[in-house]
Amino acid sequence: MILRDFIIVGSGPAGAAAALQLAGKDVLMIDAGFDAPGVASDFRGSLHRLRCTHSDLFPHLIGDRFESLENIFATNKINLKLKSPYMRYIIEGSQGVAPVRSEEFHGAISLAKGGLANGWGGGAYRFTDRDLERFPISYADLNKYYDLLTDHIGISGRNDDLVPWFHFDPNLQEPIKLSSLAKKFLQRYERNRLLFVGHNVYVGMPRLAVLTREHRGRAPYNYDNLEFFKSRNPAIYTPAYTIDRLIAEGYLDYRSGWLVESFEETDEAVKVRAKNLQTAQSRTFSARKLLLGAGALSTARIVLASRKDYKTCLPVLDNPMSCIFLCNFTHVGQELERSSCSLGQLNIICEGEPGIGTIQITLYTTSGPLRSDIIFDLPLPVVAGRALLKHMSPAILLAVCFHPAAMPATGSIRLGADGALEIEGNSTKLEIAEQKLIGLFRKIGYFSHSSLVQYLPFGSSLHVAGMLPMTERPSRYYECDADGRLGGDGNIHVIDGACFSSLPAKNLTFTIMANAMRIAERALRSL
Amino acid sequence: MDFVGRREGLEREAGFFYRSIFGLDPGPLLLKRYVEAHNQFRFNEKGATIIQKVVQYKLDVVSIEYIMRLRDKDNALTQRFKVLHFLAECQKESSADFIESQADPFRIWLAIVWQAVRTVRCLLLGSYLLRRYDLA
Repeated sequence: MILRDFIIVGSGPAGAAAALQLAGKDVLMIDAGFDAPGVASDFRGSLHRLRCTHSDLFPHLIGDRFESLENIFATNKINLKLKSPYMRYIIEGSQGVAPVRSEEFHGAISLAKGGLANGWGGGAYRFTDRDLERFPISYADLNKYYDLLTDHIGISGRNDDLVPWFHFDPNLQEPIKLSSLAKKFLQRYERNRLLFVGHNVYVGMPRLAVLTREHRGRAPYNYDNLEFFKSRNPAIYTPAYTIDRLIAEGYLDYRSGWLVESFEETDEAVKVRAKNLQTAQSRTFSARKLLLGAGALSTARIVLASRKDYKTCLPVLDNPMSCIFLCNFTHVGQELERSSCSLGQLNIICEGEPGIGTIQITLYTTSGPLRSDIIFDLPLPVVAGRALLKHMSPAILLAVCFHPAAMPATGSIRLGADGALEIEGNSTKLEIAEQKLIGLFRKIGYFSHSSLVQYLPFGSSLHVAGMLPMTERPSRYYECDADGRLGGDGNIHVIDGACFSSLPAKNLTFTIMANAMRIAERALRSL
Repeated sequence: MDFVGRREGLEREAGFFYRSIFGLDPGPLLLKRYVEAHNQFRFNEKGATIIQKVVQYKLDVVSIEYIMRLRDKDNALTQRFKVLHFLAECQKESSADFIESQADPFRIWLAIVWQAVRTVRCLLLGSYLLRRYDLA
């Protein structure tokens, strides 16, 4: 039996970052590793051009297996960014081998190389000391890794009014080009800054793992606006790029096609039991240390299965989400911008709502998803809804609000005896901040109404975390210490979102990566 | 119903719905996909009789769907409308129905006002038709 120094489970943000930190060491990565499908050669160019010139986009937008229509008939809807035919590989197969049973949960599990981050919006945010209040670590512990990652990935953005929440970063690339509607929003904010600041609301450019100039051989973003339909745009970082590079440079022994089921820790080694997804044969791999980065839900499943624990309920944190449609009537009747993007245009921070904490809002244009995904949510006859969306799209911004989540969690998971994860939870409907923002936006000419606010179900944010939280002194096996060690002892380290102690209102991916690098380095030192 | 009969029934239904929504006849490819979608997915069958009635009497299906959606967003008629919309949105000939390509604020504001009037009409007519033909 070969004894490796490290086994990393999963190739998502946590696994990729840990592998990057341990490059050149004796590391084996075990992963299901579904890869992105090839994209037909005629599906190139901008979404706008394709829609106007391509005679039939059915195979690319809907799919020969009608993949994109499944939401019409499903109770638990698939995230719009994961449902199109070229994006489905991100969540493909998970329900078969890693099933989830839930009526409320709208999240997802990925078995793809690079994980759910293959379909992310690229939000790359550093946590502040306030964000890390409930963690046993501080910003100083993560700073070095954030810097390394910024250099590795390439982050665009600007040091503006949001620096107190996002940190000053001298190495940012220029921010992405804004749509005219978002640009006007920013200009009006700048003219009315005192009004906004008086309400503790601040606006600035998002920090995105999206290149605006070439970086490490990856091309800058080309504004093709295909984020809802095609993954692996070289400009938008996915952990799969890191994995591919490490493999190519000979720094990583990567085994795909394996699903880790459980582990067993002995005095000599950690034994990891995995199932081959093609042959269904089981095999045991051994290492001195195990880094669990399979994605928060899958990591929790592996931990519970390893203890054959079918009773314990673990907490689940999820950022409650809401969406506000904003209309600037002066843009009604304008032509749709041909060169645009579905990435976050602006970030808004809404500070200090009593009992709610800091909220982060990201503004998007509505040019990315299919109109048919939105038309039927409008309280209008279908012909009117379609016409309204067609005429008003150039005038509409979508404000997606992320609320923070902390313990006690509103959700829980348990491992069923049949191996399915049973998830319960509900998303708290917090209306105070939305009301305040609608009032404030109205003053700068962006109109909405409380009846147009949508509160999304539990898990919709895909920011799921907190099952095995880090604490100063773990009091039970299902807690981790500051080094991510399960139960505060031994050689099992949790490196993904499962070890987060709380969820600030920010995309957590960048911090998962920084924390995974930190834990990997600590694990290496204690080897 | 035999296979051919079912297919013809679905094509007839799709044609009627499509004309009501988009104002023209659907192409053969769209009809074929509409039928295939019915083979692929399990549609809400509770509304099958309602749909038969709507097609048989050629009722104002847009108004009826609107009222039914306000009551139950996953009703049988809305499911069929959604499928037709997705299929249409992928085709170049329908792109003008979904994408604004000409800046013309005056025309567009007129269109929006017209749609507001039409919404009120749908609300009243849909409620009436549901009662009159016992479609609820």
